[in-house]
Amino acid sequence: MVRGNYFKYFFVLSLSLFLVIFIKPLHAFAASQDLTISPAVSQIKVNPGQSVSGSFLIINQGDGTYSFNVYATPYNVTGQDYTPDYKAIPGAVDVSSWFKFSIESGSVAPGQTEKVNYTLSVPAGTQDGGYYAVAFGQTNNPKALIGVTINERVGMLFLMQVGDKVVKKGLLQTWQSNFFQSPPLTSNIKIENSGSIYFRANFQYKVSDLFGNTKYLLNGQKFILPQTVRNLSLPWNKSPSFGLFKVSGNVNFLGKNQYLGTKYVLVMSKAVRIYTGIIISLIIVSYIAFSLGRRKRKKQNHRKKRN
Amino acid sequence: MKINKYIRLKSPFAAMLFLALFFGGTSIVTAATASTTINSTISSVISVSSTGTVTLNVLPTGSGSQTIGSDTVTVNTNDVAGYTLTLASSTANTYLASGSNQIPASSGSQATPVVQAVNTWGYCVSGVGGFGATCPSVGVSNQSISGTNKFAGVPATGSPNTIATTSTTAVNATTTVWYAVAANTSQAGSTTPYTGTITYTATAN
Repeated sequence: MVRGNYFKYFFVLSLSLFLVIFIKPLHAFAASQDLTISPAVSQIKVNPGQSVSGSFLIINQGDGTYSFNVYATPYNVTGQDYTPDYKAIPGAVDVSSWFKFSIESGSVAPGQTEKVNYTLSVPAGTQDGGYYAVAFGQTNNPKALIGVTINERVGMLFLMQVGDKVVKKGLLQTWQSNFFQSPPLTSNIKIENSGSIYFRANFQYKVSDLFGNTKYLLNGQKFILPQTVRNLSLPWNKSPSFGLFKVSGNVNFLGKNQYLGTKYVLVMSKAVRIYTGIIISLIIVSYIAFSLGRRKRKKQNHRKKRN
Repeated sequence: MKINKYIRLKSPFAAMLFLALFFGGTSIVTAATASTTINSTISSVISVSSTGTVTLNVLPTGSGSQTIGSDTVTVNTNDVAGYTLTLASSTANTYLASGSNQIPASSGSQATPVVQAVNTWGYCVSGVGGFGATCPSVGVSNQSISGTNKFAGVPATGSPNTIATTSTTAVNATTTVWYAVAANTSQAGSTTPYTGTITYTATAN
């Protein structure tokens, strides 16, 4: 009888474990929305009064169907860190009005692609120069019943040159890397565009140890808008908590290559600084104590000799 | 000598055989070649994905109750200049609304976030702006308001805040955004939940 009870308990326990482990509890979760646009950037040259046509793709790489909108906005930046600004600047040309799209709204199933054709018409009389806009694809989620609804949008950047009378001018403003830093080791390059049209700057940034071994190498490219200074912040996210390094590199824009002179950087995390401070303090205290002790012994020896 | 005669007799024959094999058994051809050029264009792409909805139900208490949840935004791009990811309200309004009742955005900013005040909502992204390490690490539900986690008000559309940026291509680059709502019993309850809409924007650099 007792053996039968044990069997019963064992069976119930095993069944419970089976249900917990192998029968997955139901989770309510939202299907992921993956909105892709291609290409990401378009560089166009067009004359005033002319039109140019092209297309881009809206791609759904997620696992749920979603509806989307397509529209254009101007593109500006604020600050040297280039925070995007999609508002029209008062008094400036509203570039977004130049665009016409074949699709302004639609829906796309998982794994499907929607091709959007656009026509870009530059009004006659538009002043020669650079103009910038973004064509957005944006998900259009139904309003959530509870909480915060998330919409995603991705933009295709249009870097446009209108006409031929443009001025390309720029300079390397600063190359900075503080000697004493907490991780991550970070250097900054500032490039100024004093012309009337954007240009692209290619850069290479290298971090090496004192023996010349490369620890981190970054090759990058950024566009610089006219009448702006762009700060390229270059963090080495995997820098150790302590070490002495050399940073260097070069920047190439407007047909010129400029070498970034080698700078030395001492990286010390907060913890390392504290420990180093404690060790140095102990050394100093020990030295003082030793010196005082030695002076005392000298005095004692001197007294003994006199006596 | 027999051997010499044999060799002498065989030599011309061997030479002829050699010549026949060498020139008759093989043919000299001129190789003809053709070449094909392989072209491949890798299109530049940029994509963004997230969960789509963040639910932050709150059971208010007299002193205030806080619920924290997160959303993970994933960006992919093969543009060599990298990307910038921004966050903003989808409209000029920054509050959560239920009919005429509102939960305003936190008074903190991304540069100077603050401990969440009662009857506000906000966001936090670790390591960005002034957030530092003050963001939550786990979601909580109906807890007393944290005195260490700091939040910022979601900016209105047109004034987005940058929450991530890179200088090179990105493969499944994730950014975790924490959202929090804090309410006490002076915040009107309603049968229609408080809602708001946020837009993440990803563009190439």
